[in-house]
Amino acid sequence: MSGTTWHVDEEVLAGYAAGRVTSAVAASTEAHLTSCAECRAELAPAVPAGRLEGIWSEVDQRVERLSLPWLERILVRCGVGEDTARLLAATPSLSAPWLGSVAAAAVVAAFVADTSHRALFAFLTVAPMLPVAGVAAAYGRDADPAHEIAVASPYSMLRLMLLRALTVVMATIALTLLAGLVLVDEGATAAAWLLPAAALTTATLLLSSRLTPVWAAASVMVTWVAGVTVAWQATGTRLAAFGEVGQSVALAVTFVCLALLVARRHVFAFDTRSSA
Amino acid sequence: MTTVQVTEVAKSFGRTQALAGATFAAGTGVTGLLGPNGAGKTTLLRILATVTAPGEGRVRLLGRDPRDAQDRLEIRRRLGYLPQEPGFHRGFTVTEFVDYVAILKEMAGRAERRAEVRRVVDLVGLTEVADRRIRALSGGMRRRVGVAQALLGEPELVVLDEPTAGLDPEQRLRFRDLLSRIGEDRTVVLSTHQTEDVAALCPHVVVLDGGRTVFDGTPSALTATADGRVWLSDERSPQARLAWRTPDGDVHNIGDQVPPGARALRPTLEDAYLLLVGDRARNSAGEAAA
Amino acid sequence: MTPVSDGAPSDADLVRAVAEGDRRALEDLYARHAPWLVLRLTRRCNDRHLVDEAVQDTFVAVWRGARRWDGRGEVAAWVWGIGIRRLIDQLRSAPRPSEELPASWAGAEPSAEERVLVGVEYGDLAGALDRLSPELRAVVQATVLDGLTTKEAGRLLGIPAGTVKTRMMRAKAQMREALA
Repeated sequence: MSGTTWHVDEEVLAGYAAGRVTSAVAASTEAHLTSCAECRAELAPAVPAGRLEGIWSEVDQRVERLSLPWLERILVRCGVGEDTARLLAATPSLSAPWLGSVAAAAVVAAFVADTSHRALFAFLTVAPMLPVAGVAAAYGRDADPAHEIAVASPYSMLRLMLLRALTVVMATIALTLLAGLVLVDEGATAAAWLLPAAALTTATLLLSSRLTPVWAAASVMVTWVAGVTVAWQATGTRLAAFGEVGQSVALAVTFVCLALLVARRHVFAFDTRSSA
Repeated sequence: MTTVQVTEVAKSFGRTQALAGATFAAGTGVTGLLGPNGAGKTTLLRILATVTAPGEGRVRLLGRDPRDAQDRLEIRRRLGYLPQEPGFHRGFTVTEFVDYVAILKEMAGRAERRAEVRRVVDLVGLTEVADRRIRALSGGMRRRVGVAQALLGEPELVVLDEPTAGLDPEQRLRFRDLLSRIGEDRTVVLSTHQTEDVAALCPHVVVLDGGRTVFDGTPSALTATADGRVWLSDERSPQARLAWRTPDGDVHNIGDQVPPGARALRPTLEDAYLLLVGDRARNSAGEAAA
Repeated sequence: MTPVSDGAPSDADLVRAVAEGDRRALEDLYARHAPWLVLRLTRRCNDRHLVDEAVQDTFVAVWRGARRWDGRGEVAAWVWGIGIRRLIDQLRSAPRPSEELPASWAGAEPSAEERVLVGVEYGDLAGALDRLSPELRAVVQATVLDGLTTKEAGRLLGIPAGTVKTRMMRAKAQMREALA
């Protein structure tokens, strides 16, 4: 019988904790402890608090890692700091549905691209727009539900925007590149959309200092489609925009936009709103 | 040092003039901002929270100028803000979200940050649901998450935009208790539609109407402006500026002067407020209560 | 140390809460069960570092496995089952600290309280247990009292499973004699 009304004597417990009891007594104590919370509590001070805290902090840390949302776990595994991972986890366009849609769009476009030259043109035109869409949904009052709270914090909003945009762009580009290289049989041409993607993305970031990210993205996309079409009509070659000249222009645009972005960084310190 | 000093601040968005000349000062304690919809409360609070750049006028927060980049950074380090419609990221638990804001507030040390997150979550009474997803919580609890993040880092200035909106009376009581405790040693500026909140909680009240400050003082001083201007009658008096039927069947009138022979009433804060801002306030309050 | 009182959640409640992802519940469970686990494991292994690691592993395992607890019996028994096996894992991957088994204290006469305790839990059996040699006693403790399999007992004590079996037989024989 080891019920809750009978307890082990204090002295015996102290003896047990100090290792000063016979095996029989120890075994009996342990059997009693298995079902008596009061005696367990009585015994607790015998272990130094520092030792218990030390063990607990390790447990806490490991459990924390285990409880991280999947995205943060992946990021941390890739070497991203835990804090940065959390800031990134708050990016809507880094969610499973979003990335899934991007992957699907890329796969479909690439699949179709393999069928004809005309379709390759479509793929190369669509591919740079995917990261732009991702960027629009990565930051700002339309995408980030806690945007105002973020603006009111000491953290640099430009830095937050760039951090998220960069991660989204990398994830999107990786998916699209994979789809392109695997599915499209045109070799290096399948990656000719990369520099334009860089140009479009930086242009979007720059424009979002003036317009909301969604409008910035829309303007950039429209301009891009128009530009590609014009290049085609002017030269008669469908893929004109993706030739050497086009790539150089894209590179130049990227650098100019980055420079202007840095120059206008103070704008991001406030929440740009058009109404009260 | 007066924490907040706002002098003739104006702000326009395109053609809309949100603020046309707001002036007041606030120090330690709770300051309530009253005013109907469109009075400019949210714009003013956004300026105090350094989220919106001030248009014209002079603003000094914690002795610093929010127009200056370095000063702004220093203000933000000592600031807590709860917007009118706080949003939370899908899938974040209470602890994760507050931790996210803590990172934004430059709390880099993991252990201290975790301890601070736990402290504010306990402060608002959300200890039990700390690891629950925010989207699974009730509106009142979500509001408390918002207050919790605003208290991270023990800010000197706490700006709360309608913190009690949409709460039931019991939750509102609990909130008031929390807010007065917070206001004991720091500056809290909050906006509200409810005059009872102000009466119960704010030793200092500022009334905004049409983008301008129309009153700045204590609640009792505000109430006193309605002395001799509130009365009861059986039917609506022609001299009344505003009148409504009470549950008892009488008509509660407020106007410029109690007509002779009428049953004068002691004014409440709400009476004074309504006299000041007129019909607009009654409509806003009605919308808010709906 | 929070005293257990009416109104406080039971151990079973805490485990259920942990199964739902409640980290404070895990912390409460830790506060209640880590101290005795440390002491009990220390009686099986002298190495403090290994015991700490085992306790750490135990509570992480509690976190991960709370959903799989069958809800029957004492939580402490469940925790012990996890804990002793984590200690065995630690002993497998760590070099054997020493061959010395924690000796049984053979000091003064058992006090009245001790006699009551022993009588309550094990009666006559206990005296027989004390009279066994340390190796035999260790084997009895591991298999009978701690509920380990022959293989696990072998890993804990650093001896082959066959040796565990033979020692158990000898121990049983001796105890039968002592009780006869």
